[in-house]
Amino acid sequence: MTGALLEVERLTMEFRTHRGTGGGRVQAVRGVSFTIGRGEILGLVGETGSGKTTVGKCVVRLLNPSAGTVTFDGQDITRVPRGKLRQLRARFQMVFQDPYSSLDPRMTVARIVAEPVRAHTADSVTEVRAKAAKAIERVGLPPGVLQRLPHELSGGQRQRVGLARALVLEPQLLIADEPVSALDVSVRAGILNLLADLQRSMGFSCLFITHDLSVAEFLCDRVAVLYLGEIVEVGTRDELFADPRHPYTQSLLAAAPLPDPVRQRGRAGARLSGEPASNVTPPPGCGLNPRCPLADDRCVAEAPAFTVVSAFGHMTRCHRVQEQQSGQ
Amino acid sequence: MNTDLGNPVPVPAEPGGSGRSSGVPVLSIRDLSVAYRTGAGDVRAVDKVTVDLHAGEVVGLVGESGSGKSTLAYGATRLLRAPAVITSGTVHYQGRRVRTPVDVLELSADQLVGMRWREIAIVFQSAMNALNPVLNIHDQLTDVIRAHLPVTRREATDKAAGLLDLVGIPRTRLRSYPHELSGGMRQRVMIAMALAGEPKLLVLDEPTTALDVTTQAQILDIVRDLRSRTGMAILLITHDLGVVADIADRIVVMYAGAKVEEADVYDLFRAPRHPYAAGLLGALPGSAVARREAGQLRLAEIPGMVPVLRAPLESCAFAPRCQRATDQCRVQPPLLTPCGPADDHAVACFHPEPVATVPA
Repeated sequence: MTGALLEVERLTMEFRTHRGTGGGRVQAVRGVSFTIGRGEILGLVGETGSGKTTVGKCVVRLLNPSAGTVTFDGQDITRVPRGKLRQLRARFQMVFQDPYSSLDPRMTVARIVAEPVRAHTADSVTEVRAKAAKAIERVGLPPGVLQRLPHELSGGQRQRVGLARALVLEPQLLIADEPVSALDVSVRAGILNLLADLQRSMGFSCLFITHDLSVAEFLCDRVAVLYLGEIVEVGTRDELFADPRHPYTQSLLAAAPLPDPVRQRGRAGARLSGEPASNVTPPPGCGLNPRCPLADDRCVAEAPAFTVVSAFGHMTRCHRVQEQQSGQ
Repeated sequence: MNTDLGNPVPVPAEPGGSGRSSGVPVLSIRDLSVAYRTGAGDVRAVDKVTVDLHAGEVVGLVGESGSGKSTLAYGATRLLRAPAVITSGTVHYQGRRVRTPVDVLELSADQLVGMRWREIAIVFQSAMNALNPVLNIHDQLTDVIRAHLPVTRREATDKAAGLLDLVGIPRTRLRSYPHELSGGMRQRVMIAMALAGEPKLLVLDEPTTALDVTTQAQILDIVRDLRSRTGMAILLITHDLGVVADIADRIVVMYAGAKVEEADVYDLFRAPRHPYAAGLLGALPGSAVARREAGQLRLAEIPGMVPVLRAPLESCAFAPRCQRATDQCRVQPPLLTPCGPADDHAVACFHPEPVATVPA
C-alpha cells in the first residue's frame, strides 16, 4: 500500500479526574489529526500539558483513545484485538525520555536489547544474540557494553541502548518521546546525529515528540505544533520555521532564546501573557484566545478551522490567518 | 513599590555592552578548590577557580553535568556538606553592610546566618518544588522576612506583597497554596523569597530548567528587570547557552571543575577560543537554513566523557576529547591566559584559535 504509514484522525483522549477535584474530565487531546509518510520524521512540538505524550501513547495504544482512529499501515489499531495488536507492536517501537528509568537495572544490555526479539520472534538463542549485537553496533556502542548493566553506562550510552532496543526488530515506525531532553548538549548532538543517520539507513518513519523547537528543526521533515490538546499549525520544517503563521507558534519561536546574543537581544520581545488554560475547562473557541494579542470576539465564539497557507500543506488554525488569506 | 529594593545602586546602563561596573567586586572568588572525600581518595570537583562578580552584572556560569558549576557556587557560599570540602582559596565579599571585605570561608556559623538572605541569596535548582505544601504563600514569605528582618507582622505582610509585585504575581496569590500555582509561578515565588532580605548577590541555579520556553522567557524578563532595578550582582548557573546569550553580561565556561574560558558574552559567542566552548556551541542545532548554508548538516559532537579527577592533573583535562590536542597538552595543564583584544577574555588552552560560529 502507498500513502501514509500512519494516519491519525480526530484523536481524542479524556481522563477522568478525582471526584474531590470536581469530577471533571481532563481533555488531554482534542480531535488531533495528522499523517506520517513512509520514511518521514514528523515532529510533535508543544509545551507541558499540550498533550504531546498522550498522542504518542495513543498511537502505540499504551492508552485507549476516547475517540478517533489511529490507522497504521491500513489497520485501525484502536480497534484491533489484543492478539493482533501484539503482532503489530513489533512494527512500531518506542524510545522514552528518561534513559535512567526506562532500562531495567537488573538486566544486562544484551538482555534488554534482545527482549523485543524474544517477545516477537521464534528466533534461536544464537539468532537473538546476533540481532542484539548488531543493534548495539548500529547505535555506535562497542560490543563490550552487551555484558554491562545500565548503571555502568553514561546517560548518552543508555539512550543509545534504548534506541537499539527500539530498532532491533527493524520497525516501520519509531515513536520517540523527548529522547534527548535529559541529555547534555554535547551528548545530545551525538544522539540526534545518530537518529538522523539511522533513519536514512533504515528508512523508518518517526513520530518525534519534543518541547525543543531547535531539536525539531534539526531532525524533522515536518512539524506539528500542539497547544492545549489541539494541533494549531503543521507544515514542512522549512516553511514552519521560516514563516510561522499561528500566533502561538510565533510566540513559541520568539520565546526560545537563540544561542547568539546579538540576534537574541535584537529580537522583538512579543511575549505570551499568562499561562495555558486548564485542560478541564478549555476556553470556548480558539484555545489560545485568553492569551492571544490578536484575539477578538470571533476567537471566543467559534473554533477556527484549518486554513491552508501554502502549496506544500502548511496549515494553521487561526481566524486572523484565515481572514488574511481570504482577503487576498 | 513597598520594598526598599526600589532604591537601587546606580548602575550605568551601557547599551549593547556589559553592565559591569568598575571597582571592587561584590564577590571575589580566588583559586577556590573543592574536593569530594571518598574512600578511594579525593575527587576534585572544583579546581582553583577564580571568578569576580560585580554589582549590576549577570555572570553566566555554564558547563555540562559534572563540570562543577553548582559546586563552585555552593562552595563560595558555604553551602557544601560532607563529603565535599573546600581545599583551597578565598572568597571575599563586600556588600552594603559589609563595607570591608570579609572572607566568607572564614566566617563563623553565626556570622553566616547574618550574611544569608541579607547579603547573598540563592534560588536552588528545582526550588519551585521546595515550597512547603501546607503553608500558603503569605506565610512562607513572611516567615523568611521575619526571620531576617526586624519587622512587625503587618510590615512583613506588606513586604511580602511588594515582593510579589517585583516578580509579577498578583497580590491575591498571597492566599494561594503551592499546588494552586503553576511551575512558573512557584519559581517566581522562590525568587521573591530570595529577594526578601534585599541581597547584593543573587545566585540562580538553573532557574528555568524545568520550565517551558514561554514561562522561561517570563522569568528571564524578571531577572533582567531585577538586575537593572536593584543593581544586584547575579550569578546564573545554567547548562543552557540560549539563556546565557539572552541575559548574561559575562560567561564563565567550566569543564571538569576548572574555568576553561571567560569572556564578555558577545566575544564568546562570536568566537569561542577554548575547543570545549566551541564544541558546546557547535553541538547546538541552531537554524537549519544556516546549517545548510554553512554546509554543516551534522551537529558537532564532543566524543568521550568528562573525566573523574583524582590525581593532580599532568595534562589538559580536555586533551583526550580534543581535536587540537598536541604533545604539549598531554604533559602539562594549560593555565588561564588573557587572549584577544579585550582584557576580560581569558582561556586555558595551548591552542586557543578563535572559531567562527554558525549563526543561530
